[in-house]
Amino acid sequence: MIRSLIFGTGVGIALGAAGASLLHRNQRVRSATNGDHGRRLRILILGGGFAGYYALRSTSAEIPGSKSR
Amino acid sequence: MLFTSLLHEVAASDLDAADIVNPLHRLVCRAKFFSGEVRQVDLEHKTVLVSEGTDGEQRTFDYDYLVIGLGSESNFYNLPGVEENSITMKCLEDAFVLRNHMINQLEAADFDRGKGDPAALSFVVCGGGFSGVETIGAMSDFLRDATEFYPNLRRDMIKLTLVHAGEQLLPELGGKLGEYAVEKLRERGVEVILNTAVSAFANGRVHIGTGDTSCSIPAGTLVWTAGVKPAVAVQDLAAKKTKGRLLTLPTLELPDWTGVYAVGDCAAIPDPYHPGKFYGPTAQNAVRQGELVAQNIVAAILGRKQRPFRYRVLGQLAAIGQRRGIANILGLQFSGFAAWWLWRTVYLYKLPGLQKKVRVGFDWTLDAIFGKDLVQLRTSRIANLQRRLARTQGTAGNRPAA
Repeated sequence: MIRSLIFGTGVGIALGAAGASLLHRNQRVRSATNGDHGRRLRILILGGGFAGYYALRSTSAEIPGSKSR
Repeated sequence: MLFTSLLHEVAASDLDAADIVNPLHRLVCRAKFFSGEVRQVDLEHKTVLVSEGTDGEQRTFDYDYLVIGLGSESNFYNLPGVEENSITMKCLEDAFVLRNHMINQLEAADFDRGKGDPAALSFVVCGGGFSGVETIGAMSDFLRDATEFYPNLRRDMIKLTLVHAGEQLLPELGGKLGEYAVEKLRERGVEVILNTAVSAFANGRVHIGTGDTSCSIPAGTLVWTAGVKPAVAVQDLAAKKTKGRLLTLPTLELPDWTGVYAVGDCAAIPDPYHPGKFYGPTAQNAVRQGELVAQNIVAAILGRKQRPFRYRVLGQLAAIGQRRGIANILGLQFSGFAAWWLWRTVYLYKLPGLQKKVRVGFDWTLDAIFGKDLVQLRTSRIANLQRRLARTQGTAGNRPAA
């Protein structure tokens, strides 16, 4: 019982830390790209082939709330 | 976005053209696009000059981070008559042109009751890589099926030749599979000429070889898949290059230009598993590079360490016509119907967008039931219409600014 409680608490803390880290990361990325500390960052992707499309899709996924051009 | 891996299937009427093209707007809902041609990339001032297609209106974009994924274009090596007279397999229009041309040749030969120019029914494909082998396999299926509808033509009137400068076809797949491809193509009546390069295409003859070994093949069609070179905008870039491709660091960033990355066919990315070599210009590599470049841009924004590009090819597949394929998966080589089935399954999975997957799945099913759709799509009318429209817009002078 105690072992399960400790295990559950450990998993909870790990998940919480991972979630908080992700949120913090997203916040930092959003802050940097939205220009909270200066002007808005512009990421330009040239090309609509395989490489360009996956770069665009992954950039949109990596940068929360981004608008790609 | 064009799924070029299935282009030969459009040329051979296995697939509807729209099924392998995805509008980027739909694929990435949050994206904002500008469709145009990249004229100039100024790395010094961090600007990109782009012109819009129809009237050449120009617009300048500035950037903080730039990803160059401009791909490649056909390399004709300045061979006489090749660029002007051959058909390439790089874009959707090429597939239309090839299909139209094959039907035109059949129509003309049938009209002449097969007694006209023998070169009309002679088709040459130059290049023994994936594109060349898959194209000639698809052409063979299409032409031989199509002859059924032409009463004056027989299957044996059609001559197909594959010319390859290397020792074996599909060198990426390994020797045995290359030999299997040669064997299967020859069984089907395709003449395969190895260790020979095309030197010219003029007056209805494809000239091959050099010196004493040179000869010519009468042909009304040359399909050119023998080489690529980076896009023009890349050639003009003031950055380090190797064989015309942009030399990058393992992180995909250009050595002297922080914040500028190159991916895909136009990039020469060092391969850590084969020192001194670079990753090949394949779709598999381009997909992984596209994903990594996004992660590295985020890492650069956050001031974190960027990751190097490390990718081992899981396997490679090619279709060679008549429901036969060849495969090398994690070193395991196999061929035949199973390889062809796996090829279709993998490409269906890789095709972006559920809607397109369903459409292609249906197309393949209908193709298996009803056979090929012998439809000619005349592109000359479309081109004329576009020219007329452009002239009309030019004279009206009321085109709104972008």
